[in-house]
Amino acid sequence: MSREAVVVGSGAAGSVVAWELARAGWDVTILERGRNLRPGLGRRDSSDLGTTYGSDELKGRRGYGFPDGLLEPYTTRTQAEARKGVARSAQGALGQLGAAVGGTTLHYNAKTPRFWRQDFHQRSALGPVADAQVADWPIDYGDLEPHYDEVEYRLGVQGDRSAMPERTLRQSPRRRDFVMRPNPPSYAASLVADGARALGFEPYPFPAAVNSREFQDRPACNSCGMCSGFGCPINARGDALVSYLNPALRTGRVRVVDRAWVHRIETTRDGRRATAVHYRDLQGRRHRLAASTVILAGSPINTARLLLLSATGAHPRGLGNRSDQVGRNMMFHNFTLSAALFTRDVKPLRAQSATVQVDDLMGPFTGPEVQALGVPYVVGGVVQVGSGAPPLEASTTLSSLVGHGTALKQLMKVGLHAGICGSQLVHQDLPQAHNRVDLDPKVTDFHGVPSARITYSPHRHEQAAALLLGARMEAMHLLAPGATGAVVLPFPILSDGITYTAHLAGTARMGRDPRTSVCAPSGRLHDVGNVYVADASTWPTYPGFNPTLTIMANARRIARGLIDRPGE
Amino acid sequence: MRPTVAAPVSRRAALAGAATSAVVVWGAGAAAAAVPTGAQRARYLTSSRLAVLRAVVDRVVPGQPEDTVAGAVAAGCHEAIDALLGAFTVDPPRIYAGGPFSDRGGSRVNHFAKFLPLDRYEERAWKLRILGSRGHRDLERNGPVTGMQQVYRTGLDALAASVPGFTLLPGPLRDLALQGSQNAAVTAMFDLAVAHTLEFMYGAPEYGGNKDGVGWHAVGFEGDRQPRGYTRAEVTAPKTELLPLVDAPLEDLLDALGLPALPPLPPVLTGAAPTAAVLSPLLPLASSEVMAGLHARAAGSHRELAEQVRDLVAPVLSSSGARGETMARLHAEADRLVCEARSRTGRQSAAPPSDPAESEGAR
Ligand SMILES: Cc1cc2nc3c(=O)[nH]c(=O)nc-3n(C[C@H](O)[C@H](O)[C@H](O)COP(=O)(O)OP(=O)(O)OC[C@H]3O[C@@H](n4cnc5c(N)ncnc54)[C@H](O)[C@@H]3O)c2cc1C
Ligand code: SF4
Repeated sequence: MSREAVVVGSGAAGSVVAWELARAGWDVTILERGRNLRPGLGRRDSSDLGTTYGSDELKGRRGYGFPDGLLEPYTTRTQAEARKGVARSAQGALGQLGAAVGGTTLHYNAKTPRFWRQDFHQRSALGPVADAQVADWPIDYGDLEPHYDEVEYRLGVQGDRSAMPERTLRQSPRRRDFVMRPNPPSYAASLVADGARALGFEPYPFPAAVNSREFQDRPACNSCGMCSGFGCPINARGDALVSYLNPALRTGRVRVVDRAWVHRIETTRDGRRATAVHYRDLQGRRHRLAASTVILAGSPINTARLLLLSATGAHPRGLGNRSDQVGRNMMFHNFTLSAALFTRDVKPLRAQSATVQVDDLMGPFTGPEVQALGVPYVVGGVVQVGSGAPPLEASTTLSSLVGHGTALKQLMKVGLHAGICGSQLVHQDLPQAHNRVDLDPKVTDFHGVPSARITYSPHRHEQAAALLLGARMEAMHLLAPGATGAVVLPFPILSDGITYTAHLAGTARMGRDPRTSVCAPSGRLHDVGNVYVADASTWPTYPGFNPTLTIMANARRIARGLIDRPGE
Repeated sequence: MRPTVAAPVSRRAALAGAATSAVVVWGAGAAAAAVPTGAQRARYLTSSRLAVLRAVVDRVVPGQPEDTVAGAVAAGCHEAIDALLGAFTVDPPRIYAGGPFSDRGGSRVNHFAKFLPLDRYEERAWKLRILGSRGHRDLERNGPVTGMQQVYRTGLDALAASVPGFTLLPGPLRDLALQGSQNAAVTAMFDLAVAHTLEFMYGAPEYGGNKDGVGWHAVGFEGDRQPRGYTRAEVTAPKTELLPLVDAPLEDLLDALGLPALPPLPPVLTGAAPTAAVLSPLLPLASSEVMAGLHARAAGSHRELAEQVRDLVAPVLSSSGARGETMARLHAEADRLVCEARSRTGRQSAAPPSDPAESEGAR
C-alpha cells in the first residue's frame, strides 16, 4: 500500500494532515505557493523559531504573507450581475486567504470555538429553505469530538469550562477541560459583556489558541493588542506552523517546497486515479511531481480552482465534478458589526482582540417574528466581543467618509483605538448553487493560469438574520455601562456582494450520494481513488463559528481515515 | 449614532466636559528610530516635485497654523512617499520593515529599522506597482499597469502647471485646487497621496513618516508595545481618560474644507450631535477584519475605498429607501429590547464607568 502523499497547501488543513501522516510513517511533500516567514523552520524547535512579523500595521496593509492582487487576482461579481452577463465587477486580492508556509494561521486571531451538535443535521431538523441547498453533514459531532480534543491539546487552547452556559456544553460536550485558564478580558470587552448580561445573555471567555501561561516553552501572551492580522511577535499563539508543520518537518519524513504554484492534478486516462501534481516555480518553470495520494488543502476557493483547472477527457467539467457541485455552495461568513461608544478612553486595544464570546445568537430561531421575515428559520452565529482599531486602519476608514484634513485629524483624537468597543457577529451563510467559484474567462495569474472568479450574493436568510440579530447586537452595546450610544452595521442588509471575511467554506461538499456531492465522508473525491480534500471545501453548511479549529479537527479525521482505511 | 434611550448625561455635555480635561498619554518611549532621512534616504522626485508634494500632504493631515499638533509635513510624509517611489534604489528595498520588535516596547534592538530582503515574487509585485508594466508583455497579461512613479510625476507636474504658485497658496486655497481639479492626472495623484500620507502618518516611524511618533502622539495611540505588552492591571483596570472632543459641528468642517456633501443625515445625527457621533457608523467597520476586503477591492485607491464605504453606510445614515427602512426597523427593535432590559433589571440607565484604575476590585 502507498505510504507517500503530496499535499497542496501548508496551512491549517495541510499541516495537520502532514503531521498525522508522518507520525504513521508516511513520506509527505507539501507544495506551497507562499514563502517561509519563520527563520529556523524545520531546524529548530517551535519555541526557538524566529519571526519576521512585528506589531507593524503598514506591513499588514502591504499584504505581507498574502498573495499579491496584481500577480494573483481573483475576480468577483454578484448574482444579479451574473444574470445580466457581467463577466466581473471587481478584480484584485479579493476574499484571499494568506500565502505563506503555515498558511493563514500565521496571522490569524486564534479564536477556536467548536461547532455544535445541531450544526451537523440542520436539514433534517429544520427542513429545506427555498433557493438554498442546505444539507446534513455525513458525519456528526461525535465523529469530530476526539479530534477536537487532540487538536486543542496540541495547539494549547485557553478557556473556562465553568463559565460556559449549560446549553453550550450540551451542544459541544468536552471530555477534558481546556488546556489552560483564559487570559484577562480587556476592560472594554468586559463593559460590553455587562451589556450582554443586562439583555439576559451569558458571555464567557472566548476559547483561543493563545498561551495564558508558558506552554511548550513558548511564552504567555502579554495582551499587546496588535493581534488579528499580525503574526504574534513573541510566539504566544498555537497555529498550524508551530504546533504541526514544524514538528512534522522535524520527523524527517516531511518536506515543504515553497513558492510552488500547483495548477493541475494529472490522472490516468480513465480518470480513476491521480498520478502526479504539476506546479510552476517563481521563474515559471514547470515541474511534475509523481504522487500516489494527493491531498488538497489550499482553502475553498483555491481548491475549487485547482479541481476545475484539472479537467480532462474523463472529467470534462473539472476533476471529480460529475455532480456539477465543484465550486458551488461557496460560503463566506457575513459579519454584523456593532460598537459601543464611550466618552472615555476604554482601551479596546489592550488584550488579544475580542476576548469575550457570546453564543446566545446561535439559534435556530423559529418564532412568529422569524416567519414574518419570510424565511422558515434563522440561524445566527457567535459574537466576538471587544475590538478596537489601530490608527492606520482607523484613519483610512474614517477618511472614507469625512475626507481628510482637519476634520479627520480631530476625529482621530477621539479615535477608534480609544473610545469604542466593537464586536462582530459571525453569521451562518446558507449554501446556494449560484454562489460559486469558476474560472475567469479572461483574467489570469502571473503565470497565465486562469484566475478564480467568485459569484456571490447573500441569501435572504442572511438578510433576515442580520435584521433580527442586528437589533440584539445593537441593544447589547447600548446597554454597556457608560456607553453613550451604539451603532450597528449589518452587512447582509447593506450590501449585495461579498463581505470578504477570511472565513471560507463550501465548493466541494461531502455527502454519501455522488450525484449531489463531490467528496465522500472520508474526504476522497467520489470519482477519483486517491485524491482527498482536507480543507473546509467539503463542508455542506457553514455554522456561524470561527472555522479553523474545526478545519484542523476535520483534517485530522480525514488523515486518520486515510491511514487506517485508504481508498474509503 | 444611536442615542441611549435615557442617557445619564447628554453626550454633548459629557463630551464638552471632556474637551477641557483631555490628556494625551504618550508612554511608549518615543525614541527616534534610525530612519534613513536626509541625504541617505531613497529618492525619486526632483526637488521641485517634492516641494509640490509637500504642499499636497500638508492638506491631508494639516499641521500649524490650523492645528497645534504636528501634521503630515512635520511627520515627513512627503519624504516617506519619495522614498517609497525610490524603494528599489536601495537594498533591501524599503517595503517591509523587519521584526519582531522596534525599540519602543522595551527591546534594546530596533528590528524594524532593518528592512527585509524581498524574494523574487515580492520584488516582481512591488516593482510592478512602483515602476509600472512599461510595455513588458509578461507583466501585462491582465492589461497595462501604471506605476506609482508615473502617477506622482505626471500628477505633480499637472498640478504645478494648472495652479501656478500652488506651494505658496494658503491651505484652504490649496484644498480648493485639489478638490476642484478636473485634471485626471491631478486627481489620480491626489488619490494615491491621501492613502500614502495616512499610511506614513500612522504607520511605524521606520517607514520614514510619523517622525518621532508625532502621528501617534497626536491621536493618543501608545504605539507598538512588544515585547513589554501590558500587565493584567493595565488590561482589566486601565487608567481611562476622558476623550477630547472636536467642537465644530461636522458640517461646518466639511463646508470649510469644501468637501463633497455627505448623504443626508437623519435629524438625530445633526444639530446637537457631536461631530464624532456623526461618523460613528464607521467605528465598528474599522474595528474588524472586514475592512481588509474593502481595501482589497480598492487596491490602494483612496477614492475607491471612500465610494465603497459611502455606499455601504448610506442606509445607516438615512432612513429612506428600502435598506434605510430596514435599518429603521432594526433600531426600533433595539430600542424596545433596551427598554425591556432596563425595566427588567431595574437599571434605569447604565452608570458611566468611573475610572477603573481608581476603583480596582470592582471588576
Ligand atoms: C486576519 C485574520 C484573522 C483570522 N482569525 C481567525 C480566528 O480567530 N479563528 C479562526 O478560526 N480563523 C481565523 N481566520 C481564518 C483562518 O486563517 C482560516 O480559516 C484558516 O487558515 C484556513 O485554513 P486552510 O488550511 O484551509 O487555509 P490556509 O491556512 O489559508 O492555507 C492554505 C495554503 O495553501 C496554499 N495554496 C493554495 N492554493 C495553492 C496552490 N494551488 N498551490 C500551492 N499552494 C497553494 C496557500 O498559499 C496557503 O498557504 C483568520 C484569518 C485572517 C486573515
Ligand atoms: S495579543 Fe497576545 S497573542 Fe496576540 S499578538 Fe499580542 S502577545 Fe501575541
